[in-house]
Amino acid sequence: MTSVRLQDVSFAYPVFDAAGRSFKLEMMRRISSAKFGGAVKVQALSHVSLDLKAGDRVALIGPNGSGKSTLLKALAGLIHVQSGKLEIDGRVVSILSRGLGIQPEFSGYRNIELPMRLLGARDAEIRGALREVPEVSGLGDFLHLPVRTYSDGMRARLMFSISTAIRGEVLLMDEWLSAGDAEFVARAQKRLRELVAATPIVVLASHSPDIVKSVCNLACWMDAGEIVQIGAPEAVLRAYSEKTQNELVQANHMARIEI
Amino acid sequence: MSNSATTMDTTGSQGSSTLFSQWRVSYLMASQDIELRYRRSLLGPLWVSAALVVTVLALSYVFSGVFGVAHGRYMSYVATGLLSWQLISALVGDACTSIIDHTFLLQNAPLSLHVIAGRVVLRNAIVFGHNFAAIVILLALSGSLPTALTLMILPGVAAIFAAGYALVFPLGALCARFRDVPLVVQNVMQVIFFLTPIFWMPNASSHRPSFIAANPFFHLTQLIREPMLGTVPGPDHWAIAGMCCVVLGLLAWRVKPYIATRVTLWL
Repeated sequence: MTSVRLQDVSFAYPVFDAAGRSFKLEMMRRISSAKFGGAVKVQALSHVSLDLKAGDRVALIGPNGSGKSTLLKALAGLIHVQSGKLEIDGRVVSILSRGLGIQPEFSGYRNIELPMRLLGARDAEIRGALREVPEVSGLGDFLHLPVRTYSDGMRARLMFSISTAIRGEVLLMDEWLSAGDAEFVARAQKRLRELVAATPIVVLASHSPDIVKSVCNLACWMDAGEIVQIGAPEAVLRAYSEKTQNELVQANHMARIEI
Repeated sequence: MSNSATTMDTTGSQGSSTLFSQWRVSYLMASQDIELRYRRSLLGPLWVSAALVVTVLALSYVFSGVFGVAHGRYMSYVATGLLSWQLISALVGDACTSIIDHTFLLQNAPLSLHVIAGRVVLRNAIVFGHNFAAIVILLALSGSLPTALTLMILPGVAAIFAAGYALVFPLGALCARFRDVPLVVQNVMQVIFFLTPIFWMPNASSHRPSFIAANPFFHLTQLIREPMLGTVPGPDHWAIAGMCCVVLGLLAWRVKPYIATRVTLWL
């Protein structure tokens, strides 16, 4: 049974300055115990617990820097949490960035296999993608031209078609994918919704209330690396927007007083 | 719908990637590297090898006179020496930049470090194949045809690649964490090039200083050079090469779990 379990997960990024990345200075630090350079720690997740089962479509909402992307990276296995327990039962497919493994010198067609393999595709899925990407992307003969000659829109079409060619059991997305002209957007939306429908667990970071409401059945509000509230999208979104409204009013109020 | 379930915990990477598919990704990347490197050049894959041949010809023209050695004999010596040195120094240099070069991929895909090490080894294996062919042809043209003994380079080449594979883990990680290390390694390799009998002959001064015997790079280069010159490499060369593999292999095995959980934080 597909599941995602996080128990009391915490994670801090070390941020190195230039001196912190020098081997010579590091050796001197060790010898002299002098304090210069080094790393500052940024607590990106603190004591996050989450329990997801098949059928859950979770939207991560919250301001920038609240830990949404870090949580996705931890789920995708890109970072290793420093404390707590993270267990995933199921095949994880993460669409966190665009252009992964794309080599601009090669044709669009030749740029299908490596990105797919980096996403963890199996041979059969790659064969499937080689068949369906030309149709899904609508790029036609452009697929035989080097990717460096593509416009941004064409590039986005190619990457979208590749990213959505794998069916996993846990789908991670940083922002809802949307690309291309009106005709393509409509087709892309349909394909993405089908992909989400066919995936047992979906975790999506989004700033769009409409997407959150229409795609997800759970919303998880994060702030400063902690989960503030988790529950039905409508309720969480309302609480979140009330809080941001309040902060806006307060900020306006304070600005007025200062004047 | 997929029916295979994989469990991911905080210490391991995704279990779905098998050894075989890792090598597939490595091979795909390495062949793209080679194709990109040789694209748009007239001589294609022969370009790098042509540069090696020109270096050999130039060095043998100058130094056979300086050392007072017969031109043909010196050329075979320096050609096989440079062939092996280029392989070793490319492996060391690539190990330095290996993890840094994969910054974007490591940050965005659950990429195993083994894929990176595999890419480094395969890419250099392809280059070495071309260089080897070019040097064999050069030596044949100058009168020394390859013998059955030439095949004896295979275990030596395998040992060098095994050591190079293992080196990616400790050295690639150290270079990613401390960005001044690649420059230091580059300088050190430059010095080692002159300390190692690549273009000079140890017996030209009729003694063999102990620093030559203590230099592992000497033993590694001899494993390629001696079979190509028609002799069987001595047991000391095998022993040192084997030790390099074991030491680096153990080091890689020891540090890999530590690196794998932290490497994205250093990029």
